[in-house]
Amino acid sequence: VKDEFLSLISHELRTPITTIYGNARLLRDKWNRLSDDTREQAARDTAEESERLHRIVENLLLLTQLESGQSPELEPIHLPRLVARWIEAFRRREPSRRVELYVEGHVSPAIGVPTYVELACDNLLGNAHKYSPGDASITVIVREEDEAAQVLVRDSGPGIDPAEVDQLFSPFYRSRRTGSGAKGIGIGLAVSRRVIEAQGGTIWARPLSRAGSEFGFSLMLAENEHEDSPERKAG
Amino acid sequence: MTANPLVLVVDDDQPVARMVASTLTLEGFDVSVAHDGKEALSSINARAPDAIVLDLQMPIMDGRECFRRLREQRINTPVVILSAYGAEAAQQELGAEGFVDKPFDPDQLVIVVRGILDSEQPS
Repeated sequence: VKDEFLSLISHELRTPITTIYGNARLLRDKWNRLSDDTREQAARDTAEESERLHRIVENLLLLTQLESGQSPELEPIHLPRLVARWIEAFRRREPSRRVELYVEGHVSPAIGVPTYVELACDNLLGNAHKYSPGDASITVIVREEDEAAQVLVRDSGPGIDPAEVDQLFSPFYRSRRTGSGAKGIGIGLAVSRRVIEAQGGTIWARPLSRAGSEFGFSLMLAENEHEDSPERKAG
Repeated sequence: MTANPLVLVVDDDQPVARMVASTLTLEGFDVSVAHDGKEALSSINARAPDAIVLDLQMPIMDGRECFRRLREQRINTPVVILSAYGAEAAQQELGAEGFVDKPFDPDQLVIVVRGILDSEQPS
């Protein structure tokens, strides 16, 4: 198991570094011999792989921070605005993927940590993108239900086995349905669960009736925040 | 006129495959690219490469399986194992001709590829 873990984490961290380092050497040492197209592609790959590496490192750091038991500082969040902003950033990164956002009715402010929510959105949408066919769209719904604010991400990927749902949120777990066909080390969903639960929220996954899956989370509304909820940021 | 040596680059990570292809093209090699072992085996039927740069961890068919099938089919093209984890151990286990650990200096990859091509030349 240890060897498999080391193999996964080495692959995940060293692959983007390979592109960043290799392209940096090419651009620095052989600039005059490269075509304009090759230079442009190398620069684009370097930027995208730096972002990928940054996301992996942020997930690993956050996982470590949450394991140490630090309480997050919560504040009111307007989820429709935060999710819309985040989807815009995703579209810039993945322009070929269609992502449709639906805000259902009025959604009251939720209570949470904006960076945690962004990271959960990043992981859920990234997962949907990874497992959906190239031309399929992803639907994101923001709504208020059962006195909580919810974000639902629906994809048309291979779906999930209901018996596997709990394991999907375990660190380093890889689904049998996707197995070695998918990149990554299986920390995205585990980190998402930790950050959502650290904000007093819940996270879930379920298969959709036609095809694909829904991954969603809910956060308490600011107006319903209980005294026993995680620490509230002053001011 | 002698054609440039053809190197088949097999890596599922497209940015890495592009960087390796750019490096080798710049050094005068012809380059073809496959993104998994199965695609690599199919592409070999079109034009046999002079060398293969083979990643290990790939979907559909990984590098180890691809290597074994090559040798089963008596395709003895020299192979450089390219991996983020255990490249040297895999080279020894499989009996491949060379290895390069990721991340790597592009010049180092060129040296290894040239080295295995030179050692394949009849003396």
